[in-house]
Amino acid sequence: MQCVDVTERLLVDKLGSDPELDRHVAECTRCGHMVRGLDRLDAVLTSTVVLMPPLELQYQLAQLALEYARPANASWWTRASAVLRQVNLAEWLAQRPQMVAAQGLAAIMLALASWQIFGWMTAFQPVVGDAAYAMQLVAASPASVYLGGLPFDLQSMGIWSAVGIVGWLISENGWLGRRLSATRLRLP
Amino acid sequence: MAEPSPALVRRAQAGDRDALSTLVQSQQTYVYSIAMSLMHNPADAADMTQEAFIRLMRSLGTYRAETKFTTWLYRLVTNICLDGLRRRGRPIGSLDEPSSGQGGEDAQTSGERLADTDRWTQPELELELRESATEVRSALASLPAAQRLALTLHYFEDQRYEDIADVMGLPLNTVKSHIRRGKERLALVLSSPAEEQPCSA
Repeated sequence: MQCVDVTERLLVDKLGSDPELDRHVAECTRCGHMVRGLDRLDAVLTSTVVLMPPLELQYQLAQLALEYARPANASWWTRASAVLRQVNLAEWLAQRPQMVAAQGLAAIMLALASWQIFGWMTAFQPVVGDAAYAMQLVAASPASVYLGGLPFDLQSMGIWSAVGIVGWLISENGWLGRRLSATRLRLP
Repeated sequence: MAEPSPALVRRAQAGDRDALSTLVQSQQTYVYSIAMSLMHNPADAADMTQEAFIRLMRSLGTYRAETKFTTWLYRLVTNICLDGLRRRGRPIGSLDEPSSGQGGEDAQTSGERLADTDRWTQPELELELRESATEVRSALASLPAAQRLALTLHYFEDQRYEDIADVMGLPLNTVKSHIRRGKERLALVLSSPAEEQPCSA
């Protein structure tokens, strides 16, 4: 094997592919020097021709993939539970003790109002279409008594006032609320 | 360039977000390297890469697995880059031309062979290669496009010549010839003494 032919072979073939080539390189100092030089050239070229895209381009390409992706056809209950799982009520309430108290208060007020409305409803038998009877009901309801005159239902006023006072106390500007702001409730 | 699995390609065609992201991530270096070898300019290569992936996303549904995915992608990228070069007034002609030089032949190396060069054959002479990225890229840019592309694919994860021939759509011997001539030319250019640079005070 001539050194010229070996050089031609070494440009495309690696050592180990041909025993005759390997034997010549092992015995020939000149071709051994050539092999070392070509290995160095390969290392230089590998680091130059194989290029990672810049980070900004990688990010843009990742966004492109997301744009062209189609959303999976999930069932409605899967989507609903995914939305609900995103709501971390404990984390949210733990940061706002006043919100916990305000919601409790709102629930109490709703219960009281519902109780009162339920009371009115059970006191009368509503008849659809009888306008005269409907006017009688309105006239007879406690609401028209309050609107027409000045009698106060002290008991109701007391209850609602108490609710309002408690609400003010625990609000963010109230005495209790300002003390609660300094601490955080830890809900289970 | 790792050939993506058929399952991954099918999922990407169906619009699966993870499959599309994986496909983009696995092929972006391959596409960008090819674009750089044709455009020579990082900004232009980035534009061509983005355009190639947009075209890929839009036409992924038309890929029928009749050829390898990397072959299909290579042709898509090279066509986009050739169009880009034409738009910029820099056409480079066909990529199928044989290895005997076209354009940019270096006067220092024409006719010279690696086997005849002392620096490469005399062990007592230390071989010094100019290895700065700028000089290497400049030397690469002096090669014909087909040799440059063949070398890019050759150094990309050490591809087999048969795979490169399949991707480029060229005979095996032509690919080997491109690589042989390209490496020889680069070896001679990078080992020749640098020209005197203007002094920057």
